[in-house]
Amino acid sequence: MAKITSLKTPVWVNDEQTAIDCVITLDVFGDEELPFTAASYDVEEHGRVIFQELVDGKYGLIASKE
Amino acid sequence: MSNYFKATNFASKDALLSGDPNKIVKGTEINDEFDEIQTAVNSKANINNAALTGTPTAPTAVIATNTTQIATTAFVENAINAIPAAVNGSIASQDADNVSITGGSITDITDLAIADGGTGASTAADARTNLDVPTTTGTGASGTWDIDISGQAASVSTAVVNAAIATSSVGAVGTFAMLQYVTAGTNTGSTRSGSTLRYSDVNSSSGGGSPSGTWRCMGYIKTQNLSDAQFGAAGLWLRIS
Repeated sequence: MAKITSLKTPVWVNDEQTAIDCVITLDVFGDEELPFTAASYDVEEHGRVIFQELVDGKYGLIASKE
Repeated sequence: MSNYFKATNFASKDALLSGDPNKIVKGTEINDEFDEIQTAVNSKANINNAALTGTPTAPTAVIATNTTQIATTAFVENAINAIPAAVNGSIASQDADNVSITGGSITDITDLAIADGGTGASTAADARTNLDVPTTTGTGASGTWDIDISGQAASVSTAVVNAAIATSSVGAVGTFAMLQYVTAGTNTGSTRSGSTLRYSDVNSSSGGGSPSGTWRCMGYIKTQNLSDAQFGAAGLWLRIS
């Protein structure tokens, strides 16, 4: 399982606040920055975990949807 | 066990007058006395190799007595209770199925064999060797295992991999999907967040919602231009995180 080495610029995707866009780096991809959508409905558990961590404020404030 | 009690008072015969028949010491009286003595002596323990029966008792020696004096059960219990727990530990309970030792340490024991649940060694290095455990670089959670699995790759067969792929959910990491990039075209190998993609058919008709995670474009997405809008065509995407 890949490990997140950084996560930044979280932004709500929708008004229902069920998904958050952000930029992550993973140990398996080195410094490559990857656009990532963390969602409460993700089929992957790690996606749901990241979403909850974002909601809980682990990575700072989540910007409003533009 | 019986004690000897004299049956005939021979001294009283001295005061009797001559001619009194009771003044005579009879052979039966002597026999009776010796029989009584024999019975009593036979019931006593010998000094040498005494074989005691019943519940023999003896004076309880004081703690720390270290002589040939008899150790009674009370002496033994007192001696065990006198062992300092802080120095030697204490045995809270012990039987065949439950041994509980608190405090102190166990030393000078024989290495417990692997077959008995041990490591067969008295050092960590020997234990790793006996258990075929690879050594680590670093320590604790930051340590890494130098594991050579060459020759074991066959244990992960293509059938296992195929089965894992076959049972993957739509949108799971490692799966492909036909997706439309809603903004514009994009090049092969580019990555996009799931929220910018839509499940689509080959005609770029989307309607299945957006996936999660990160997706890599595995084809080429050409920008589609309508009179008043611009969007990307449908293509094949691989979820990578």
